[in-house]
Amino acid sequence: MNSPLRSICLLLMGLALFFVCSSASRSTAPKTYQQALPGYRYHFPMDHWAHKGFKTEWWYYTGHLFDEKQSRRFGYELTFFRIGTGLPGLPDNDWALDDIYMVHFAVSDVTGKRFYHTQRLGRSGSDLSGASATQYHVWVKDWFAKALETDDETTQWVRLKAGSDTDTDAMAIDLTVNPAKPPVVHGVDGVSQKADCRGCASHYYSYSRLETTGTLRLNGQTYSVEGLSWMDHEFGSNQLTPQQSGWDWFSIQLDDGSELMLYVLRRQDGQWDDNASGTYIKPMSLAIKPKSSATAASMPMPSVHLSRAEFSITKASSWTSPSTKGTYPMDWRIQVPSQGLDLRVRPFFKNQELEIPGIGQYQGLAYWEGACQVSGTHNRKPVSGQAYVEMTGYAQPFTHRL
Amino acid sequence: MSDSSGKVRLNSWTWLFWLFGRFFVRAWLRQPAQTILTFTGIALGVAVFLAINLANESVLQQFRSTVDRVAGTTSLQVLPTNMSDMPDSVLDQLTWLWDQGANFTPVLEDMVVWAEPPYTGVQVLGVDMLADSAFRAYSIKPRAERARSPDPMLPGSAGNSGNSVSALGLFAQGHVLVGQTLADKYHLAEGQSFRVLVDDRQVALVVEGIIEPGRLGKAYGGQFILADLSVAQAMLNRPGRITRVDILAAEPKVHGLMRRFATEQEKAGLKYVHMQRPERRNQQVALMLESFQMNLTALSFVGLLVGMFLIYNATSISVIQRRSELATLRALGFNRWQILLMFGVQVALFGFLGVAMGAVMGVLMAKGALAAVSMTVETVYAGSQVSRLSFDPSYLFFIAAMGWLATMAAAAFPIAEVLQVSPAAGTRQGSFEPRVNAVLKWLGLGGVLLGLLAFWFALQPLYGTVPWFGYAAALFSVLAAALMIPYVLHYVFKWLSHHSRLVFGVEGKLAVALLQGALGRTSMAVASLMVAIAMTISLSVMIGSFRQTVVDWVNQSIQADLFIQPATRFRSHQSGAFSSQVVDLIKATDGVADVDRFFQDKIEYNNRPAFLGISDMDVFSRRGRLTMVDEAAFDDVMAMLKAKPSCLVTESFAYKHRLHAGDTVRLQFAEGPLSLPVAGVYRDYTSEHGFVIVPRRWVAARYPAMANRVTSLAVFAQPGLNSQQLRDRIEANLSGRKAMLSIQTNQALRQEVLTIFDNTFAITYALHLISIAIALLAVANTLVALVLDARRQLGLIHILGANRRQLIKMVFVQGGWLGLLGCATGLAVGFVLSALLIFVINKQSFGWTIHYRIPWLFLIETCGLVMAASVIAALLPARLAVKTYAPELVRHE
Repeated sequence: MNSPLRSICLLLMGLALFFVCSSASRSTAPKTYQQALPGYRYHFPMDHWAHKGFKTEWWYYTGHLFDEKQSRRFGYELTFFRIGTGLPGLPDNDWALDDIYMVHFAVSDVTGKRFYHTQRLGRSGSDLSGASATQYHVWVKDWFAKALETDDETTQWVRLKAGSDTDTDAMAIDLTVNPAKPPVVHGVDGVSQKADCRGCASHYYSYSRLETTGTLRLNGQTYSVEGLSWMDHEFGSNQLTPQQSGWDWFSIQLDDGSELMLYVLRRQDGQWDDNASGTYIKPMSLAIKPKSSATAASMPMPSVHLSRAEFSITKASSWTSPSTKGTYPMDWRIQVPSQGLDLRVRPFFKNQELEIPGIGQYQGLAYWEGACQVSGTHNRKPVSGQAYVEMTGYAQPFTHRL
Repeated sequence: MSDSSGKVRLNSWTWLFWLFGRFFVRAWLRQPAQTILTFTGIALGVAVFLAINLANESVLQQFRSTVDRVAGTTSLQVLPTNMSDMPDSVLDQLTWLWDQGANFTPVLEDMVVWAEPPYTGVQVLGVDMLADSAFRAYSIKPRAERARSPDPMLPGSAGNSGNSVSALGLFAQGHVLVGQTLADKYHLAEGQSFRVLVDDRQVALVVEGIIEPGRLGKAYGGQFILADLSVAQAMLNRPGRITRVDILAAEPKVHGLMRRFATEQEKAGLKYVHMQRPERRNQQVALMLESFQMNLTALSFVGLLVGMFLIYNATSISVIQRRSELATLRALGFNRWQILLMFGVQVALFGFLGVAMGAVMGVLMAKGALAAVSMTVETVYAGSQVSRLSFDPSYLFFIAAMGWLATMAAAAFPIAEVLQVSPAAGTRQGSFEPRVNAVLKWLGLGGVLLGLLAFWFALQPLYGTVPWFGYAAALFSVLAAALMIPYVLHYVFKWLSHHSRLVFGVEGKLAVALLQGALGRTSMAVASLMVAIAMTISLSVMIGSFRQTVVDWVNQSIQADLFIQPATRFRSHQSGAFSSQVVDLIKATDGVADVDRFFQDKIEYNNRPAFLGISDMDVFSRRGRLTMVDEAAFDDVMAMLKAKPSCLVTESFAYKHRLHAGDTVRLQFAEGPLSLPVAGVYRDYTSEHGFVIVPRRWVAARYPAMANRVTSLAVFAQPGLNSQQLRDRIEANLSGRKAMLSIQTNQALRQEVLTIFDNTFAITYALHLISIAIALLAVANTLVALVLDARRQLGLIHILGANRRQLIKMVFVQGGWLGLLGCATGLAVGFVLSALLIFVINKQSFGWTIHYRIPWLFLIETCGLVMAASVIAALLPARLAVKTYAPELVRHE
């Protein structure tokens, strides 16, 4: 579960009122989108590409990077969203706002304990922004994620580029990520259920371990960096219900080669929704070895689905954002008894909140997406690792009506 | 006198003030008519000058402000060169800008027309609403509370009030934001729908929000529609087209980007666009209006010049009247500088009051002038209204200060004469007459030299864009005439003294003798009359000739029975095209013999504005008629146009770009280049910027897609059908289509051309009237000065036996001669000036050939009026002459 839901909500809410207000002036029916339903079969690499039949889709990269001397540590988030507006009565031309493209880009200077973020919007007119349905290429102007063409079928390199000199906080990344493990599909029967209703779900898979190299530029200084990234690709049309208020999401990469993904949907009454779930991904050596490396890239990775009852998350402290006044949990204990996991997840530093300003007349939004350190035990053996945690629905701009 | 001299010694400065009051203020009050005349003259002169300048400035100011507001933070723009728009694929060629740290966004700008009377033009600005906040700042009025839902966060429920909603509404077809002024003007509220004319269609739009005044909201005076690019392209029926790309870059990078653009242009085939700073649009607008405004300013200077003559006269009168008092003061110990100061203060005060009054009148007149200037600008140039007078107050101050300085400068000569008043000489009346006789020949020679210089200036070609040499020639010919006047008058009076007696008896002879005796003063009087009359004459000759030329041209070139345009082109708005079905329907209408399809678009050629026309030449060559410039036969030129790829250009285009038949015109379209030799140059008075007319077949041969565009139709009826019947048939045939067209008959179009012409010259007509008023003022004022100057002689004549009736007759004869001489010289100089206006200034400013025509009737009327006014103006001086107390005046003899 990722923050784009917020954006979707924003759009949906607009859309809803849009119907109410303008149904008189327009007769064209809104676009109907495909629902994320059980039974979906993944086909790679095609499922990396855009799924324009679904209303929302995102390609979500987070990662932990070190410079060459290992003296400086960074976290980054780079997310490309495609949000179908589904608006009725759009003009019939290339610039019609069928889809909005949005990029969120954040860098956590872990060593310097400073957080930088920016965002960008785009639309499909004149192909300045877009998502290809015939190759892995999603872009908003010159920020992009694009599969690199290689002769070697075993490599699945993707180039990530974002940032520029003109931003207020000058920062940029130019990274190449290469999967160390095949993609892992979350949920059951091809869907990751987000609420009880039919279609209230998404198709969701991850690359849980991406070897990453490249450059990161921050405040005029360029660092050669390498590290590990995590990629989520999720698409669906209708995911939240009125009773849900936000979510917490954890992606944990342990040094023993295993990974853990958990998401929790919070209800307005403060309780978890029953549809909270997770996935445990075994180390590569323990997984069934693929017959060839080519299939490694195209066959999903075996994984263990974790239901709501199989894990617990408790918070040890909290942090209040000085600017949005939202109070976020910090410092969690995560236990997955079935996998022998007992972990403590703590942010490297607390202020990793993205405040996305309103665009034109859009309301802004804020969420916390931060680099965290992990310690604990795995099958009673000490283990450490790193994580990215996302928390939405805590900040004032989004909760004032809740 | 003796006790006053004692007081003078005590405190000469206090006395100076006291004297000032006695000397001047009392004199002003004693001669209210004369004071008011002078005062009004100065005020009127300054007011005209001010009004024109303020109106011009307001027009430019509004353009500048709009350009700045629309450009927002943009540091560079990419614009199409030889077309008004370009394909949006140009954006794909600009992605290199990102690597340079620059950002860019497309813009589509166009005019639509409000669908109800008075059919005013409304600017449409189409921008990428998602990307645009970085480029342009505006805020939307908070809207009335809308239905609130229980939970705005959630899908499926009706949501939040407010802005996030309107943002989405902005992307729906026909949903737009409107400027506050537009909303107020047409009582628009959120959610309300309204209609505009686009091309030949009516388009329904919905107000999604109202833009608050301030920043972008004040562009176009708040009369505009802001829409998302997708919505704008749809409503304007221009899918895939944009008119501009705005680029945001850090200032230090701008030059680098422009250099890089030059290399990218070659590489990416971007030859049909150019990159420029947004401020350059200001320059382009200024350039577009330059000739027009320059002409107005030059005319307004004449108003100021006449004002200067008036203050010269008034000061001279004042000096003459007080000469003996001045001599006395000198004798009493005032030094000449104190006296100079006294006069200086008087003139400064007089000038100041005049200018202050002129400033008030000027601002009031400027509103009228603005309406006229704006009408011209809207009709002929920019197609956008300027409704409010807006100028920097410092500009008003600057112009007023200039007016004041000018009056001061005019008064400098007579005041300087004060310095020469010696205690003794000053007591002799008449000794003050400038000693012209001694330098008569030199003045005449100087006049001839200046005249030659003026002639040489007149022969100079145009350098740059403003005909400075033409203006200099006009100025020098006036100066030359003024210098030659004493010499000419000397001989004229010799001859007249004989003939005047024959007609008017001894009084006639004496009147001339008096005029001749005061040759310097008389010359000045005749000169000021001459300038005023010459201005009137030259303007009327110029306008009259121009109008007649246009009438002839209209009668010759407007041949078709009907002229049809999309409704948006009605009232000379310059955008809008036909849908092809409508053209076909009109063609197929029973009774239509021939249709000439014409396409017109604004272009830029060699960095100057111009128009491109695409025409079906074959219909035209059969039925039309153009007057070729270089005597080439119309049929030969048409045959050449048909035979090989070539084009026509208008006279003004040829003049501005120094082209002749056989030269090549190079155009760059998005589709590719088009170079065509000029087959012929023809006369045309529709645009000073000029047209390039390309036969449709040659465009079609290279770029078929471009050749289908049509913006107007000339329809020829079959024999036996009159234009009204044809019009009815076409309207009946189109009735189902609801096409919004403006159909004009031949007669109506001819009438409209002349209406446009008259609108263009609206301000000139007003100036014309004012110049006549100023001329009459000049006559009255001059006579007063003359009579005052001749008081001693009049007194003598009175003593020698002339009765009051004879004295009055003398003054009236003087007035009559003066009027006649003023008319004669004014006519002569007026003809010279009109020739300069027509053959040099107008030709160089607009490139038009105007056939010189003399509106005899008007000239006779004007001269009659001036003569009558001169005689009537003699009333006041005649009374003065009679009042003259002879013994006192001749005492010094």
